[in-house]
Amino acid sequence: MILVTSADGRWPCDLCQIFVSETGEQRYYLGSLAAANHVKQHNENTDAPISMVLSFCGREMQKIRGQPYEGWEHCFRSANVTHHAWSMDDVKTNHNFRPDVCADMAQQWFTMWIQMCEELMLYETACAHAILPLTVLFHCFGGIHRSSAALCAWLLFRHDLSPMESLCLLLKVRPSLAPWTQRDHVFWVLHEWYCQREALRDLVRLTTCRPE
Amino acid sequence: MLRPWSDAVEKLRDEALWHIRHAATATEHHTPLCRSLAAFPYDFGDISRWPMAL
Repeated sequence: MILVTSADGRWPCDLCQIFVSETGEQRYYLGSLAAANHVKQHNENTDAPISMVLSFCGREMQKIRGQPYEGWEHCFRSANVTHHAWSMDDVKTNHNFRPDVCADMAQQWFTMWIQMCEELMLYETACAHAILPLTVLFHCFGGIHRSSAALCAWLLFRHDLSPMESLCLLLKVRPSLAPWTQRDHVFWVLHEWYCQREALRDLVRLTTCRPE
Repeated sequence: MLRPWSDAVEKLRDEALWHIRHAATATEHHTPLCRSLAAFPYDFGDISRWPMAL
């Protein structure tokens, strides 16, 4: 595994490369909503264009001013990018203060991460058949909480990293993950994700495996 | 289905928060969020006005 440590992603002037596999077949970026807005420009200026964008701020995307004139979906299509969006709530949680809210958020994220892995596995299979790399941008509003946690989850699921390994990988490039300090549900769901990793792989395999 | 909150979750949280706080305060170079927020020259309500460095 190649650890990319360039610190060129300064929030919100971001779009930073977090992970590249040894073969270069998988490459993951992290960014804010602005990074998603500039994916076409990025693709025109790189030899590793992003082919998939995963948005974890679906509601904000539709509300924000300055979004692409032609709309997000057309914007991504014209950049030859596959797009999936989830509307994940971003609320502060404290397990000692409101364990019910914390549990609700953790469960919500857990369910969405399973959906995310299903989409990614299907897309990775399609990329492999087309002999194309899997180059994905994970983004949310600021690119420092929802998308970063989702990228951690994918690194655990697909690349066998531990929660701390994936977190430290992120911190090398994205040293400000301040929102995590006020969101206990992130650690709850990450821990569960790690503990149930094998069962989750079986589940996702079952869902995404299509008969020939 | 999630299992109940446990000591193992707290251990992970405490370790992760140590790394997060350490990374944020390690060097001046490692505080982009603080610097960005302190500068705040842009309109966060309008994505087209966010600066980008690609």
